[in-house]
Amino acid sequence: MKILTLLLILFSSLAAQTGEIFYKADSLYNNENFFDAVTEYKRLLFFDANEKYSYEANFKIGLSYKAGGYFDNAIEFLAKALKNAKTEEKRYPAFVEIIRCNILRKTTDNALTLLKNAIENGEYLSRKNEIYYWMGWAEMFADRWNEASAAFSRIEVEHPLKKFASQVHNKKYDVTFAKLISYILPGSGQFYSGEYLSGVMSLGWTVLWGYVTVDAFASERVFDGFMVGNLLWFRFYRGNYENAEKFALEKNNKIYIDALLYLQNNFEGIKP
Amino acid sequence: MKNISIFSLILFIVGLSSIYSQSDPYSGVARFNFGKYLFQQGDFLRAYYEFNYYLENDTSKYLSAISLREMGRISEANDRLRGLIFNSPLSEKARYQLYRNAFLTGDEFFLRENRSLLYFPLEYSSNIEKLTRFDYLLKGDIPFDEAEFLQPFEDSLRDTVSLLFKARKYPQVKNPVKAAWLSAIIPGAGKIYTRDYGDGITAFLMVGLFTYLAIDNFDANHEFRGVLFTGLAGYFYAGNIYGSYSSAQIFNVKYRTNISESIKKLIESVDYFSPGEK
Repeated sequence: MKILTLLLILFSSLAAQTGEIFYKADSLYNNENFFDAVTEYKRLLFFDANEKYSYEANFKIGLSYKAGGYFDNAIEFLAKALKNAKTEEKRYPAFVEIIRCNILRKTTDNALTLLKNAIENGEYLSRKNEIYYWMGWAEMFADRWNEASAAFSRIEVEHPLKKFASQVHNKKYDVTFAKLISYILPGSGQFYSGEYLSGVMSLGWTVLWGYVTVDAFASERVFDGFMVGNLLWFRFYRGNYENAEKFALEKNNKIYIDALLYLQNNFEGIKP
Repeated sequence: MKNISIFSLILFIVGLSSIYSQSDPYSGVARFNFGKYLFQQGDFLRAYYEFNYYLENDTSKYLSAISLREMGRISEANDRLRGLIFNSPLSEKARYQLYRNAFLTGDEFFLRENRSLLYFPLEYSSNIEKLTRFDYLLKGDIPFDEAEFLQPFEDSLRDTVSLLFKARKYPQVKNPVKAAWLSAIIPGAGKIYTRDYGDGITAFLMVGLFTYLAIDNFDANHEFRGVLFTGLAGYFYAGNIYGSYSSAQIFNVKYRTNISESIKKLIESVDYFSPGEK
């Protein structure tokens, strides 16, 4: 009886030790001391012979790495947490955190593939709206605002992020269109993307050198025509449509960055 | 009988207490074991911190040095390794790691002059010989003949190392001055010499075309155009000479870079040279 009591005391103290590490790690995590929190959660994993804390420790290590911006490490440990999760209640948070890390590290295609697979495999059926929500975020980070709008509209037709994504989509410039109209009328692509001075310059230079080229051919100065046409007119014509494309891309990039900044600073819902 | 039972009970309790004390997660031994676990995971910073709690143990000190090296803190790693050279069972390993660190930092003096291979087991001394030769290959100043250079390498590596040795010892580089002179005599010839065929032909055609146009315009009394095309011909001619000189320099840089890359790839492929504890 005495031996049994001693054994009981010993094993309960061993269990208490892992419990203490877990408590210490949680305390560090809650105080945002993520580096030490990771160390203690890893210590917990090392001493936790019965794998009692596998899920919690891996999950919190993943979150700590995410907080520090180490998304690769975060995904590695969140994937371990997902593997160790016994119930959907535990699986889903790990799954969503993996998605959020993928969104933040801009591997949005990975996030979308995981989300689509979850829908196709009938996983997390009770959380379908949340899956569409993260699909929308992945599409926004991938700079595909129309698709983002479609994903949010599946949750609710008047979803605030649906409206926002649609607005951003409408603001964006069509790069192909900008280039195409500059092929037809030099400078018009620049006008389309709001670069008026550049548009006027492009139009002016191409008209001037076009005139000189035509004039040279008309006066049977074939060599001059070829030289001016090739070295001057064509150079400005090519610069014109290349610029039209460049300006549209630059403007779109600014719209994308502004939109994400707006979401970061003003959106009050859940963010990646 | 009663005495035996009491004795067994005491032994049992002592055994359990020992297990209990070792399982204290913050004891020196436990931290050391945890450090090894982190080390194997590649988490060298945390491993280093854990080893620091148990520096009275030589293995812990040694692994902390390797962790430091893996984090790029080679000078600190060397300080710790030097502390293991005397009166430690890990003396040979520590000295070997010092050579490996010297190779990683390109410390040729340590590799070439500070040789004390006499008391090294063959496995280590052979690897150090190879490291030293790779260092010579990377630096390019090789004082050996081919047979002597290849001597430490196993048969399977000799053909590859031999090719790299020849490329370093007898580099097939281009002379920039020769390239410039060739282009001065025949425009584009210097670029052909540096195997820049497209540019060579272009330079020849451009200089030829503008020279022809200059002469033709002077003949037709178009003074302005004659001067214009003479200027263009001169511009392309001078550019072709300067370009050939640069082309030879670029050729040589590419040649040396390619060889260095091949040497580094070879070092990575032969696993015993890669950094890390084995």
